[in-house]
Formats: sequence, structure tokens, C-alpha cells
Amino acid sequence: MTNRYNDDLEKLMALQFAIVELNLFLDTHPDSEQALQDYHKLLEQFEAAKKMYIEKYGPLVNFGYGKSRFPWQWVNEPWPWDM
Amino acid sequence: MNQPSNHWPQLAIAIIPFQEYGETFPIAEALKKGTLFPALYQPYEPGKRWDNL
Repeated sequence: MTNRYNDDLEKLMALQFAIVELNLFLDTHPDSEQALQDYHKLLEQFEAAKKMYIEKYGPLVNFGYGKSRFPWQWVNEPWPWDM
Repeated sequence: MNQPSNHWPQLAIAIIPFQEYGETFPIAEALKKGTLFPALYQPYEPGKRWDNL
């Protein structure tokens, strides 16, 4: 599962990073319509990718944001140093 | 050093150009480069001199 898992997780990380970048840009450029459009576009992709990740691997963060299948999936993913 | 502040010499003025929105890196590349914006991409290269910028 690991290669596929890494790709999926890295996609999430890349989306999240790009969204934070646009978030910071918009803080100083609240009138940039293009930046806001791109922010929304990436946010939609991020929501979809996050949903897919959770369905496939289980919760992305430890509690409150995603369901787990039975048995509890949180401990299944590789440790950061094993990736 | 003890003179009132309005007599201090003017040492420097920092000027920061306002960033324009333009092309952005593909997101996977942005994650690796540490910025989404090509205008902000300045990798640290030891020994590189400022006058080459």
C-alpha cells in the first residue's frame, strides 16, 4: 500500500500547502479576485481528496474530522519515518 | 546613543515591492520549493553574491 499511500498523502499535503499560500497572499491582497478563485478551486479539490483519503485509509487526523471503519484504522498508516 | 530619537541619523529604509498575482507553480512543485509563487522562489545558495541577483 505504501507507494500509493505516499502519493495520496503527498497530493493532500501539496493541496494544503498551496491553499495556505493563497490564504497568506489573500491576507495582504483581499481584493485579488483571481487569487480567491484559485483558492476556492484548490479548496474544492482538497475537500474531495480528503474525503477520498478518509474513505480509503481511515481518519486523516486523530479525532473529530473523519470516520473510521471497523476495526479502528488510525494506527494502520505507516509512521512518518517509515514512509 | 543618548541623544533624543529625532536626532538619530537615518540608517536605512526598507522597501518591499507589493507582490502581484501571476503564474503559480504546479502544487506538487510548490510543496517541494517551499513557495507557490515563482516571484518568491529564491533558493539559498552558499557563496552566491548579492550583486548577481
